[in-house]
Amino acid sequence: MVEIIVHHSHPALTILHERYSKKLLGYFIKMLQNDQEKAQDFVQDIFVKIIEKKHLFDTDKKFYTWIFTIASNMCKSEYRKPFLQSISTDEYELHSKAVYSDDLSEKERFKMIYKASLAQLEVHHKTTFILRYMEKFSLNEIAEITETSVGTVKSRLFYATKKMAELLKEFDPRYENNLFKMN
Amino acid sequence: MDRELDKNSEKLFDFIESRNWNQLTAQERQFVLLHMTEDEYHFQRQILTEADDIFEENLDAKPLILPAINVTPILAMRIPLYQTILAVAATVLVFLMLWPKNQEIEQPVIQPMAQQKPEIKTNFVHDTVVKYITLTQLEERVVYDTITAFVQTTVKSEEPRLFQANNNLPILDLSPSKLEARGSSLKDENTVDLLPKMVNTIY
Repeated sequence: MVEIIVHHSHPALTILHERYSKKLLGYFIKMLQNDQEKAQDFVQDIFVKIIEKKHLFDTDKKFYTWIFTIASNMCKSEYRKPFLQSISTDEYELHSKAVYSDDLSEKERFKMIYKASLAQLEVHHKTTFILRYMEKFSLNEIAEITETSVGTVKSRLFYATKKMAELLKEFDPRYENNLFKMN
Repeated sequence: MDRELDKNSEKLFDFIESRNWNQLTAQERQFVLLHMTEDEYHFQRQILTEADDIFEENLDAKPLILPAINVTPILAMRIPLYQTILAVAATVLVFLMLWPKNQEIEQPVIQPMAQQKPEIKTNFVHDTVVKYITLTQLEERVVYDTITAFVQTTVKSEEPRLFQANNNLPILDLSPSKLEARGSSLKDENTVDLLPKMVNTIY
């Protein structure tokens, strides 16, 4: 892997692309409010960044976490742009109502509101939540990617889940909803 | 306070993520109930479980298109704007430093043809030049210095005599009368001549 980066050979980069592009695309789609076109562009950009920043790669660390560190930083930069900041509560309400008006199954409706709730999280909460529960990274890996401590990661995950529960309260079993796969 | 909150949230996270409500001990349940109800606990766990199915990842990324990596020729290299500004400023500065400030423009002197150059006669007037030379005089200075010398003198105490004479000893009378010869002298003795012979006989 190190050789691939250092020697900057196109076939090697193609191998890296084959290995990680799908995973990265999924991550970008989740982070960029389901904007698939932008996510595709980000995947292209990240491989250019890998070439440009190959000297920053610490060979003692995992390439997988390093590439996700770059991906997270790209999303963070994108969130600084005013038009892609987390959606406001009003927008969220509108989105939820639109979901209601459509002729959707309960499950589909739940998914849509789940995505809308996720989009409402603050960027650092959203990053941690997605990395943990959707990309299946370990707590230590998330700490490495987000350049924080494991304690901070746990704390962020707790508050992100709490916020999600508040936003998804209509699906709470207390309201006699049988949507969830009860374990 | 914040640290305490963080610790609580970390602890709650550990419970929610890894354990069912039934798997919690009575003490742990009590701790959780301080922050949320049992239903909320269940609900938060369900949200985490559902996270997997929300996004369907069937999309494939577009093929990789990398920009051509060529060695940029010098003329095509991009120079940052600040470097350009600095270079221009430096050039102007050097130019200003080297350029003479009061440049005199040489103008041709138009002299009337009739005017003749005056003959200059130089007279050398020799004069006496008095030069004052400052001589450096060596000044001799006597420095009186006091050297303290310690002379060690040993005073011997009078040793006691072995025999201390008393004052009661009689003083001998050595008056001339007492010292007068009273006996007969050998010079007038006739037998003196015989003495050497006697001595020789003995030895």
